[in-house]
Amino acid sequence: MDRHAPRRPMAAALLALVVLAAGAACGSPAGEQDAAADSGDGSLVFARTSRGVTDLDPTADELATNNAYTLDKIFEPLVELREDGSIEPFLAESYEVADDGLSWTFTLRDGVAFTDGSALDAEDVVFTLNRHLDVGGALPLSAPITDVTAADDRTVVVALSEPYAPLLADLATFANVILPTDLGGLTEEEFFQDPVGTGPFTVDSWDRTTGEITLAANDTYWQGAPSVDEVVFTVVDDDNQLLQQLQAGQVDVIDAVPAANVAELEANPDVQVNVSDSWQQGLLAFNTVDGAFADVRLRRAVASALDREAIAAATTYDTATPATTFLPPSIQFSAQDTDVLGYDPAAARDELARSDHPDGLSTTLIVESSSASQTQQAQAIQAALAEIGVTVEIETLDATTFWARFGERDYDLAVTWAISDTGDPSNLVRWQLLPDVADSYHTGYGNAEVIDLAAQGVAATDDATRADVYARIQRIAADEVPTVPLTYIPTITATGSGVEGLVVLPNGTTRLQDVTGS
Amino acid sequence: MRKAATPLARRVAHALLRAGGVAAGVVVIAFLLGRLIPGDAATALLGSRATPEAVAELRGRLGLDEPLPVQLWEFLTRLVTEGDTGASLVNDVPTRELILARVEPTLWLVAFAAVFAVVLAVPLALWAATHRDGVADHVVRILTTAGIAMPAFWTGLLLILLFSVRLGWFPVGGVRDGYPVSVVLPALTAAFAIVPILVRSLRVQLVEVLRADFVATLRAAGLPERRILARHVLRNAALPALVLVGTNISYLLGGALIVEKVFALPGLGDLMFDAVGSRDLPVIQGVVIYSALAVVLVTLVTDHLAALLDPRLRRAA
Repeated sequence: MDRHAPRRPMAAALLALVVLAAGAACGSPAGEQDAAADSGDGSLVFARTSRGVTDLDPTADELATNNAYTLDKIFEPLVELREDGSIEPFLAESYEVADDGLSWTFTLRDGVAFTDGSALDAEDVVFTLNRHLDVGGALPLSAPITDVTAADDRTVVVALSEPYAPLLADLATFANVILPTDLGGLTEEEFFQDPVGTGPFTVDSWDRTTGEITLAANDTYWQGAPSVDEVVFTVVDDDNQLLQQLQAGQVDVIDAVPAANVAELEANPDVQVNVSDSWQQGLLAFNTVDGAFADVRLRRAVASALDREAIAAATTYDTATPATTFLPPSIQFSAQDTDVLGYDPAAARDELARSDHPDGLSTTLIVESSSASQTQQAQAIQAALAEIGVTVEIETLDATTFWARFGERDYDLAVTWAISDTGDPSNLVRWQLLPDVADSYHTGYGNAEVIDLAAQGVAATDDATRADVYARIQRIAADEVPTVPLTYIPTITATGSGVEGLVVLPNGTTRLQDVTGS
Repeated sequence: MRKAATPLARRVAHALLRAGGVAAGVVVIAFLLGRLIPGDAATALLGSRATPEAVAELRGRLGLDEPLPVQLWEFLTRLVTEGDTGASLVNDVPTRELILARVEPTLWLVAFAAVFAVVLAVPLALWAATHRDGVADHVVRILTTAGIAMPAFWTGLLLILLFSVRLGWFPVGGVRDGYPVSVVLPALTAAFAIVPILVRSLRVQLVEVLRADFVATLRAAGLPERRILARHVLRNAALPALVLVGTNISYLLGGALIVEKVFALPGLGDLMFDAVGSRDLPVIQGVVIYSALAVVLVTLVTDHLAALLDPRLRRAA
C-alpha cells in the first residue's frame, strides 16, 4: 500500500466539506426569496409558545392551550363568544328558555354543512352533548342536564333538573363544539386525526413529531371562505426567536408577546401590537390548611403589605392592571367596588401583631422559572413582606415541578396565574373557591357560606339576584383572602406588516377567518 | 516476535465490548434519571387543570402508577424486542419515530459545525504555530480566549441580529426555509464553541511537528517553507486533528441542545428539552440512549479510522 494514499481521501473529503459549506452560504439568497414568497401567497404563519398540537379532541383529558386554540378553528359551538365577552347565537340561530328555566330550545341555522358535505342537524348536537356528558374531559359539562333531544331536524331541546344560568357560557367553550353524529362512522382515533367540522378551516397537514399543523381554508364555509388560503401553526418556544422571527417577517402572528418587549415592538413601524382584555389573572396563593397561612390574620397582613399598583406596573411593564377581586372586570358580575385590602403597611403590622406569629416568621414562596413577570412578582413580594417582618425564601421551580407541588398543596406561598374558561363568574368561583373541584385552586380554602352562595349563583335566573350573590362571594373572598389577586393580565398579540383583521377573544384564542394581507 | 494474527480485529472486539458496557450503563441510568426529577407527565400535562381525580386517572392511563420494577421490566423488554423506549406520553408517537423525525436538523447542525470548526481552526492554528510567540500567536490566543468566554446563546443572538434581522441573508430560526440555509448560523454558533479548543490543541501539535528533526532536514535540503508546511507538517498534524474533531463531536451534540433552542431548530436537543419539561420519560430515555450510542460509535470510528490511516498507531497497538 502506498504510504501516502490514505491521506489523499482525507484531503479530498475535507475539500468536499468546504465546498458544501460554501454552497450553503450561496444558498441563502434563494432561501430568503422562498420566505418572501411564502408570506405573499395567502399563507398565514402563526407562531405560538409551549407545545405543538397533540390532540384535537375537545373532550380530551388535557385540553392544552394550543390544542384548544386550534380545534376552535375547525369546529364551532352553538353559541359564540365575542370579543367584548358577550355570547351570541352562532350555529344555533336562536334560543329560548322556558319560564321555569328547566328547558332550553335551540334552533339551528339553516345551510350549515360539515366539510364532508353533510348538513348540520339536531342529531349532531344531541350526539355531541351526550358524548361530552359521557366523557367528561378537561372541561366537563357541569350543567344539571337530564336530557338532550332533537324535536325536529333543526330543533334541539336541552332539559335540566334545575335552572342553570351559565348554560350559554358553558356551551360557548372549546369543549362544546359540535361534532358530526357518530363521528361520521369513524373511530375516535381516526376522526380526530383528520377531523370534520363546520368551521372556517380544515386540517391540511399535521406533523405529529413537531406538533406543527397546517390548516386549509374551508371554501364552502357558511360565512364565506376565509381570506387566507392556509394557516400554519408553528411552535417557537423562545422569546427571542419569537420576536426576531416576527420582525424579520418569517412569521406573521405571535400570540404571547412578553410584557418586557411590548414597547420594543410598538416602536417598530412594521409590527402591530394588540392588547386585549382577557379572563386571566396573576395571583398569590396561600396554603390555607397546613402551615402558618391557615391563620386568616396572617393572610390579611400579607394582602395589606402588598402595593399591587406598584407590583403590576413594575413587573408587567404597565401592560397589566392591578387586580382587586378575583373576578377580572371582563367577567360578568365582577364587582370592582369590592372593599379589598389595599396597601396599608400599618394595617399589615396590626394584623400581624394579632396573628399567631406576632413577631413575624420565615416562610417559602414557590414560583415558575419560565415567567419573568412572575419571578419578579415573587421578588417584589419578598421585599414587601420583609418590611413587616416576614422573611420569604423564594423557590424557583420548572413548570412541571411547580404544578406538581402546587397541585399537592406542598407549599406555603405561591405566585401563579389562572384563567377562566367562561365569562360567567361561576367558573372562577368553582375553580378558586369550591374545595371539591380543584381544592379551591390548591389553596384548600373552604367556606360553607361560599359553597351555598355558589349554588345559588348558578341556579338564580335573574341578573339582579346573581349580581348580588356574586358581590357577596367577592366580599367574603376579599375578607378571607385565600388568594391575593395581583394583576389582570391582557392577551398581547403582535402581527407583522400588513396583517389585518385578527380578532382576539377574552379566553385568549383568536378568530382568523377575516385576517387579510399576510 | 509477531503479535496476534489480527490485532486490529481483536482491538475492535475489545472496543466493542467496552462500548457495550458503556451502553448498558447508559440504559440503566437513563431509566432511573427520569424518575429523580420531581413531578411526572400527568402533572406536566394537566398543569393548572390538575384536579386530584384528573391526575390519578391520567397516571393510570399512562401506566405511571405501576411499581418501579414492573416499569423497568417493561422498559427493558421493549428496548430489546422493539429497539424503542415506548410511545411519547405527550403525543403518543413512538419515540423511535420521534427521534428519526427530529434527527435531521441535528445531523445537519453537527456536520456543518464540524466543517466550520475545521475550516476556522486549521488556518488559525497554522498561523499561530508558524509565528510562535509572535504577534499572530498572541492575537489568536486572545481571540480563542474571548471565544471560550462567549456563551452560545449570546453568539447566536449576535449572529441573528446581524445576518438575519439586519442583512436578511439567513432565516432567524426554524427549518421552514430548508437545508442547509437554516443551519448555517446555528452551525457557526456551535463551531465557535469548539474552535478555541481545536485551535489550541492543533497549535501544540503543529509546533511539535515543526520542531521535529525531519522538518529541520527538509529545511536543510532547501525545500521552500510553504511546501514543507503543506506537504509534511500539516499531514503529520492532520491525524491528531481528526481524533480531536471526533472527540469534540460528542461535545457538539451536547452543545446542540442550547444552539437548537436559540435558533428554534426542531432537532433532538429541542425534543429532549421539551421531553424533560413535560417529564415525557420514554422520549427522555430514547434520546439519551440513542445519542449516547451515537457518541460511542463516533468515538469508536474515529479511534479506528486514525489507526487505519496511520500505520504507527496500528503498530503501537
